[in-house]
Amino acid sequence: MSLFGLVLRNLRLRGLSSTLTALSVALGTMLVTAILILQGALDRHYDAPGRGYQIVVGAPGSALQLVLNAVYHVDDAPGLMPMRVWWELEEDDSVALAVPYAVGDSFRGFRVVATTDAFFAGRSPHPEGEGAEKLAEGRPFRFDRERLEDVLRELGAELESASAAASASGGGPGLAQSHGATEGAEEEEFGPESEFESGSESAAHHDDEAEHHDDEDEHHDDEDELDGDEDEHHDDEDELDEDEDEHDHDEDEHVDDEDEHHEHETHYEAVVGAEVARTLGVRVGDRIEPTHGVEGGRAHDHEHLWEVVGILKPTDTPVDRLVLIPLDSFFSIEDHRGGALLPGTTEPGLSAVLVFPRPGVHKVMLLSRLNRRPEIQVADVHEEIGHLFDIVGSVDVLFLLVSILVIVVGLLSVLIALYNSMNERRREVAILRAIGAPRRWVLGSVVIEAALITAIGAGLGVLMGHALVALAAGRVESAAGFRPNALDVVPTEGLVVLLVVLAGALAGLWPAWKAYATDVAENLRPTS
Amino acid sequence: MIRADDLEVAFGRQAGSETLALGSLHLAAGERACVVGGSGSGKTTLLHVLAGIVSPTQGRVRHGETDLFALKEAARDRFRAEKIGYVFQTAQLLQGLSAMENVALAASLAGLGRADARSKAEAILKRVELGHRLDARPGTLSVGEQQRVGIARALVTKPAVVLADEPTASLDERRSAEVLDLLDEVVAEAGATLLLVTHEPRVRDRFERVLDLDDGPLEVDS
Repeated sequence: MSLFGLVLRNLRLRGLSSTLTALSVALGTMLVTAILILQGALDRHYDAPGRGYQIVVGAPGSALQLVLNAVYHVDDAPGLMPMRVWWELEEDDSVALAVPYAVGDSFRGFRVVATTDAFFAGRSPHPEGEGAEKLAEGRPFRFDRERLEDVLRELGAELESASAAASASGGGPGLAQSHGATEGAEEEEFGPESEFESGSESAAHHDDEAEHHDDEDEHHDDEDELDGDEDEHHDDEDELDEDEDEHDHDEDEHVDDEDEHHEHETHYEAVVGAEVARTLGVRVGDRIEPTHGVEGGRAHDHEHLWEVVGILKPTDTPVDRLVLIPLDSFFSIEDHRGGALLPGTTEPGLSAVLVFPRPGVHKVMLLSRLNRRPEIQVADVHEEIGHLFDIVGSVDVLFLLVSILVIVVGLLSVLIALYNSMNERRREVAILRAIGAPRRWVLGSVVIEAALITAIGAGLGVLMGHALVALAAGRVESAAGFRPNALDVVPTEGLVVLLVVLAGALAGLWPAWKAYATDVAENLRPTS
Repeated sequence: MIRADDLEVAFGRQAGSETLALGSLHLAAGERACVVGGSGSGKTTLLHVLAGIVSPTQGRVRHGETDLFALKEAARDRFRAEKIGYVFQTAQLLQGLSAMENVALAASLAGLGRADARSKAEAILKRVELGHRLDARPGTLSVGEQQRVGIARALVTKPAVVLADEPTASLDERRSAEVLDLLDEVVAEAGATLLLVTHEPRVRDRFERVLDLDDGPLEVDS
């Protein structure tokens, strides 16, 4: 019978007391473990995914809400911002890329984001790469800028007045002269001069368009039909430019113009995030039907299904949980038509624009200019995430302190349980001493017992912490936009267990001392 | 062999409390003796001093060539584990341990390895006719059986000295005789010195040498 064997026997003998004491330690350790896992998940899901984003422009309101919605895809968008701001941003020489977002739909619990081919530009951070490089499978969706304009006109949007406003604000040319968003992304190939050209269509613009389409050809060599469409697109764009010069605000002519633009086609195509594909088993070629509302409300009353044409590479960011569709297809949905215009105006609206400034001082200049505009909210992503972490960090510290207090209470219960048991064990200690057990052996047995109880409690607590995270993962995801992985092992978990066990051993010192100081002769006297 | 000379111990919890003179006692190797006396006469205290559990305020105790209280406490504990067997009034077995584990624990404290301790524990338990109850917990043993386990625990290390503190106080006459017979046998087999405390005349009558503390401090030749 070794010292450790005697300790195990003591634990068995006081099984209920030992179990309850270990449980009290386990509760505190469980909370600390869960908080550490959540902290790790929070860092991964808010810090890393936020990297690469710079500025978000949206409707006036909370800047943090705007960032949470546009970057992390949680919470609701603050409202609609004028779409002309997007066009202006595309023409701004401080902007390398502007990615518009229209949100509000979902597909089987995953948010749908309507955007443009700018999403697939190299500057758009998640997934890394450009065009098809961002995809694990398939190709990017086709976004038709001209078709978007057509759709918006059908909705009663006065695009010309918006263009005029853009010109008036110094942001660049009107809609007809604006470049495709992807062009803005191609910073190296697209000089500031050509970005800032205004007025009628320029040769540089055409060159860029051609380059853009060459890229697409590379990505979709096998897509003959698509190439054909793009050629048509060029022809129609030229026609549109001429039309706009001639028929500003003329409703009758506008109808004629529409007739011409009917040759454009809305591509009901979707690209899904890696998690969407994995979770729902969505594959390229499948057809999906988004529903109205981010919580997955009623189905749209329309006849279209979106064909999945690509699956994004996994990023371990909220992008993995997105369904991306072309902006023109979003506004083609009957349900969206009522909300496509800013209330009380004929201006089309967007949920947000992700803005990627050119390197250097451009970000500061851009922020300064945009902040002066009352119709929009401008959020510096890094600043807002800093605020978020300040808030969350304070709550984290509070939770951690409470959890540590729970552990301390657990350790106190170890001390109290062992101390009280010493009264019952004095006789036993006296017997052990009488048959030759040295004092340090008796002291060691109590300290080891305390350490063992806390080790069992701490070990159990770590498992319970992971189980708690598994149980709460769904709620965390719906509330915070990220799903913590219960199988994540935080390196500090081991340190927590070690510290708790050490503290438990220390807590056992007092009762151990009581055992150490037991008066053998006194406690060997017969009790009856 | 035990030589205790001019022993005096303090009793009571406070410093400077009263002292009790126990006197002197010499026991030869293999000798059997019993100590009698009224309640509070110091019978159990004498055993505690001889076992090194209680330090005397005066006098010294030698087991063979070893001056017990010249040893540091840890060494005295080890000496007790190896050389002294102690039989309690009630068996004082550790609950939660089997008969075998209770006995093997004493052997382990004397420095025997796990296997050796278990082997010796099994042998001595068979000797006290408990070979069929090796794994029995104390609560499932009769009082007589428990006391036999207590005797086995005291003798598992083949000690030089066995100190027994009223080992039959909780037993009826028949069982008392059985236990005393057994104790005599195994002590004799071990060649140990036996000093037994009792207040029972029938037990006292089994010993040729009786030391009576009611007569005052013990004399070397008493």
